[in-house]
Amino acid sequence: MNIFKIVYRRFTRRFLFFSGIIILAIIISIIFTGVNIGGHLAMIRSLNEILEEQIFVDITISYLITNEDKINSVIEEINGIAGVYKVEPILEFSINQTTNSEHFFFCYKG
Amino acid sequence: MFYIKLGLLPPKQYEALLVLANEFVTSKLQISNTLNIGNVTIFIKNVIIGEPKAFQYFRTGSILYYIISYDSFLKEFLQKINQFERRPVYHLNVFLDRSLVIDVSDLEKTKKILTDINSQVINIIKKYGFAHDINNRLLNTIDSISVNYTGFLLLFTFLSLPLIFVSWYLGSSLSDLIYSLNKREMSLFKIRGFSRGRLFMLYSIETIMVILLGIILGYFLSSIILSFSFRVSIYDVVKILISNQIAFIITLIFSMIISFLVFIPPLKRVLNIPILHGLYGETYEHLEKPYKKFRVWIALILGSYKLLIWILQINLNNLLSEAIKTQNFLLVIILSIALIIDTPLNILGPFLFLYGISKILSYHGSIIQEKFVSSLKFLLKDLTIISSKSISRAAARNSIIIFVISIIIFYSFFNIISLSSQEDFRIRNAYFESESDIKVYFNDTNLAEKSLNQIKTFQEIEYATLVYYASYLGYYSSYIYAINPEEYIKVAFYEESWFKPEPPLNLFKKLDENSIILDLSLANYMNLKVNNEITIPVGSYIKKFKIIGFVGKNISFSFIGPAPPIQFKSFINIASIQNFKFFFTPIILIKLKSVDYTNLVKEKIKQMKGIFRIVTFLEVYNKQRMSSIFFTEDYLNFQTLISVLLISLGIMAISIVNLFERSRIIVLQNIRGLDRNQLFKINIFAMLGIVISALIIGIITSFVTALGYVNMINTFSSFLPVEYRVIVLPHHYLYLFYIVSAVFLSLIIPIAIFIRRIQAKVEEVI
Repeated sequence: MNIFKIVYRRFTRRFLFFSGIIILAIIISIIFTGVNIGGHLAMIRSLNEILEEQIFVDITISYLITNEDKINSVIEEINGIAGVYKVEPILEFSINQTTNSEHFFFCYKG
Repeated sequence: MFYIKLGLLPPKQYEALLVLANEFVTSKLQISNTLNIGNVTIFIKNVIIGEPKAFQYFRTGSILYYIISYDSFLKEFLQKINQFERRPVYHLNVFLDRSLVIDVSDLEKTKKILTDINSQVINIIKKYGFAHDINNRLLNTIDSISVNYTGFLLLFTFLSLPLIFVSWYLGSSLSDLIYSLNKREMSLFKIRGFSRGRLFMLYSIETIMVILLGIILGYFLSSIILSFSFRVSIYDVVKILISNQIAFIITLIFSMIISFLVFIPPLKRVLNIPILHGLYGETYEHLEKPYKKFRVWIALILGSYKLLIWILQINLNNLLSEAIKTQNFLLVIILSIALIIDTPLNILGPFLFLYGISKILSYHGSIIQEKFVSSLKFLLKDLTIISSKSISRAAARNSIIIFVISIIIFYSFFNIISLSSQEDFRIRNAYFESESDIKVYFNDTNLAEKSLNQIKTFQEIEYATLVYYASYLGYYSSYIYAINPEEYIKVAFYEESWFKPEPPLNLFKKLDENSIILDLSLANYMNLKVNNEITIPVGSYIKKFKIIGFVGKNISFSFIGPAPPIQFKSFINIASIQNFKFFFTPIILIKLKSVDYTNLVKEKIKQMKGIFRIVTFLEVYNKQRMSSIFFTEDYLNFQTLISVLLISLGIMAISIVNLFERSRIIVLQNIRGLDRNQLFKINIFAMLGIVISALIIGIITSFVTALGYVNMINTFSSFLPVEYRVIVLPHHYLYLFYIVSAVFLSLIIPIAIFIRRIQAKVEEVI
């Protein structure tokens, strides 16, 4: 008799008998999936928390003022890139007041 | 005169001004003060309370930040810019639509999208000829997180090793039974001319098919447990499972390897049984592994040694460094050898102990379990003898039961104790920083006193007290708190172990206007003892105090070099600074009726005048949760759930093996007149003695191991303000209850079903 025919018959007839093997295989598989996917999920959780708690601005472009008129065109073009939500200009300058402290100014144009 | 104007930033970014606000503490600036920078005078108009989030990426350290208006301030300021050292720099803040660019299930795709956006931005800037510097924080973060993935993978694999071992051990015992039930069939196949190799093929093909089915089912079923443990939506988990082919292949390969190790050796063992023996029926002698006495005693001695070291809290590393110091070379050699044996026992010790004790209890100590059953005479009456006899009949089986149950109980309890201890540590560590549920810094004494009266009327508040805070003794400051001792002990967080030589309550009771509870590290540095005197200078306020006790930990202290990682405050009585309060910063400490009221009360307090900083326990606690330990905790949660599954499966399988083995006896007992109830009692109590001993051993070992680990961590982290301790928090009791319930349910259910079926069969035949 064909060995595969025997296997098929026994398999369909005695499925409950093999439930022990199935349950064990399921548990072993869950353990290894946990190891693999758990790392991925921990990474996602960590990413979500960092994005929510720490990163508000996704990309910062810094440059020295050369021609203020061109800034608006730059902003307009960047706004046109797919996936960009909005672009905000900030102007920063710093002054050393004393030896041990420095003053930073952030200015929103508005 | 120029004005710092607020109002152009979205709410989250307002909070950046806290950095500015923090600096006001040390520079003693207040709202309405003026500040001279170069030849420009700035009038400080407002300070916003909150966390320095939005500007964190710009600068850190002791810098003053101002958020100003272009129209009302900068235009004129720019005209004077040449007087200053630096030219202004433009920043373009680019906000991306994160829902479009980030795909959590495919970070490689996300990285590609972000790199594309980056290149497009660079091209635009280049086109206009600007010298530029681009910082794509999103891309950098995803890059660094991807590196963490490998770390998590290694860590989780290490944490899973005991679970993998238990599933292998349990699986091997279970598959022994599964194939044993096919003994007759195998013998018949052999009689019909099937060779051993052909039979092996037959059985292994069907086993592989079933294993493959199980692995695929397990891969997707894990989404439920993973989503529950990691608190990520089930939809996201399934998406990751489908898209992550590499994870699937790894899972498949490793699961197959373990499954083969579990199923193939028992299959070979059963195939080797002689035909006649196989036809004879359901005996399981071939499953009985020989008892190796020497191996068992070695395991027990090594395991017990490790547990004893943990119970006695002996630290071999400390002993060795002491021996080196005293130049006791014989002791150095002995301790070095002991350390070589001791180090691997930190992981293997509990397992060796459980292995040894379960064998010893089964082969030499079944008397204990028999005694236990005998003690239940009031329940079993005449059946006691039958029940207790069946215990000593299968020593090898009993040792497997005790080992498997005790190891899973040990592992689950240890996980839960670890979870609880870490959470307890985080809570106490956060309270060390926040000192109470809410801490409010004021810049004006009168306003603080008025606010305290107002705060005390809030319904959500249990107690509130005003303390005065100042630094003294040079650049690397020591800190001092002027307190009302009676109110302070009701509101503030403190630990008994911080106070010496008397308990805190006694010391606070003794704290009068001439006494001080001094920071221990400062006292040690200055070689000061109880009843000595110390002069405290705060501004022009100078007063001599008598030391009544010490607070804090002995951390090396120096006026030069970096400040110590943690600093405790010395305490004086508020009465001693009555006329000098203006040298101190007033702080209100608030204890809430429940921490759930934190945000509500914080919002109310924000409306008050004179506040420059609010610290809440919840915010500090949440910040500390960001560490990777937190994600490890999620994984421990996952493992605990798997352990409960394994416990249930393991005990059910063992119960079934036991019942199959004893089925003929049970039938005979039934025919001789024992009813279903009596049969159930006999079998349950026979198993109960074994299961309860396994439970006790597992639980004790888990607590001792946790104690050992906690002491080890505490030795290496003496710089932390609070210590780890072995504890189970109330909300984790439920987990323990689930585990113990799983043990008993998986014991009772198969026995009840089996006996009912046997009786039905007997009645049918009769």
